[in-house]
Amino acid sequence: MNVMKNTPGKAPVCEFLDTVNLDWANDFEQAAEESRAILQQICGTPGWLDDLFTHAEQDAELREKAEGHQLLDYIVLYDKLDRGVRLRLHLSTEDHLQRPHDHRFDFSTRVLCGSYEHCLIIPRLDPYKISPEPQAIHYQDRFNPDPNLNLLNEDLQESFVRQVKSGSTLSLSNNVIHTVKTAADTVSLVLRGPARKNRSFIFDRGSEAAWWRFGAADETSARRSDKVMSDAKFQQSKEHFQRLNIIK
Amino acid sequence: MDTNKHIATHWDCFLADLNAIDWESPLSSFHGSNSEILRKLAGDKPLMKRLILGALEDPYLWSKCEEDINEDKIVLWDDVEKGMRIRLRMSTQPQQRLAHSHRFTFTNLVMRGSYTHWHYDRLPSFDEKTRLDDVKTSAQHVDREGDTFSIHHEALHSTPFPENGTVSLVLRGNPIKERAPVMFKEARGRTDALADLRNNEIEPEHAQKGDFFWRVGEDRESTSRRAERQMTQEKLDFWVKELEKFGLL
Repeated sequence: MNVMKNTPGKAPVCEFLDTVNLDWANDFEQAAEESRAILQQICGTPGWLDDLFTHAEQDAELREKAEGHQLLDYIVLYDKLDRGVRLRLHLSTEDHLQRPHDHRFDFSTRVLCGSYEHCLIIPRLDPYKISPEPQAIHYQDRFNPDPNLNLLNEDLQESFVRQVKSGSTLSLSNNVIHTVKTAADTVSLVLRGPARKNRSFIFDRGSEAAWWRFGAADETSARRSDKVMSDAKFQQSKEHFQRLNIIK
Repeated sequence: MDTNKHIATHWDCFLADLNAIDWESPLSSFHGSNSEILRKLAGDKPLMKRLILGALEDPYLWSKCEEDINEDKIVLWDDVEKGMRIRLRMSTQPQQRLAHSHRFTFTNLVMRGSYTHWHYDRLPSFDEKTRLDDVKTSAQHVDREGDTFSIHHEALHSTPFPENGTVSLVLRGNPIKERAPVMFKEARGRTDALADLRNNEIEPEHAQKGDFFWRVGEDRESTSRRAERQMTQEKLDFWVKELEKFGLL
């Protein structure tokens, strides 16, 4: 049983998360089920999301992890990857592109508002075998696609599709390639585990270009500075979450 | 046997006017329109009831209405030329988790109930030689009333209905393979009972985790097997009353 200690000044949601330990690597099914229940509890307990956002805004280590990307921006609300928990609040941008990709980590997600079309993909070719890691590190964004990956759209076949709406949850392992086509103003709460591999794959259906995403330690400084969320952007995101009634 | 009798009989319903579905195109290209078809049909309760009762009157459709180990199926429509078969699927017992693919691609609407939907890693091959531990869960989500999904015939998944009376409406294409693989991820019946696998193209009543069988089409089944699975009129009448009780007709 998880026992929460009452630490003066510490928000109850953080005390709750301090008791969580998820073993994604050895028991994906258990971690997936438990993480979805945690997301439900966070979203269902009044004040918990507000407290998490306030904490993220004030904690320097969490604040510097906030990132802006072409298709989504996110704030890191809680971070204890040694216990299998990093919590992120995602907001879709105005760009809505079809980009099949996988992740370096396993995770669960819950939609708070908005919706998206979610597709699982069967790859006909293995991009990880075609482009080994040492050379892939040079191709980290859409302006520097990997020339070794001459993939076509039909090489990434849709195997499953559904519409994910507010209240829906999903758990995904790190080796699944998927696409997420978001409607405007889609917000998700994501609970991820530690990285299970060094890089992840991403493909743009429009240009049929592919590239790789690495963890912070292996990213180029140009890539890092491109992603890090500025104070102005953070404030914009906060106001957006407030307009959508995600936080007060 | 006249395969179009029901289409002629129900010429005035919207299903008769639909265009053929290109099941070979990307799922996202037809998922939306297929979902609309299923929602429109499910929302038209008098039409649903007419088609369910009509299945009894059409020997071709009736021959495809089945009572299986833990679910029953009623076929409402089967336009082979357009690649459009529509059937109701109703659970009659809590179901075990079976990892499987299908002989066809299809779109599904949950009309009643909810369940965890499991997805598994793609395998180089999935057959009697596949070990239980090789079938690894890659994704999970929950399908709830009103949700739809579309799935390719090569995808491996499980949708175990946990409760009696879980109802789905399925729009499927023509089969493109003779048989589809199924593995028990959960045991069925007494775990110490021997699996009845004398014929691995018949779903066993008892099974251990890892036991495997093939789902086949009606054309591969014996006459006696078809007779075993044939729905009775009593059962159809039961389902009409039950679906009315659920508020679905």
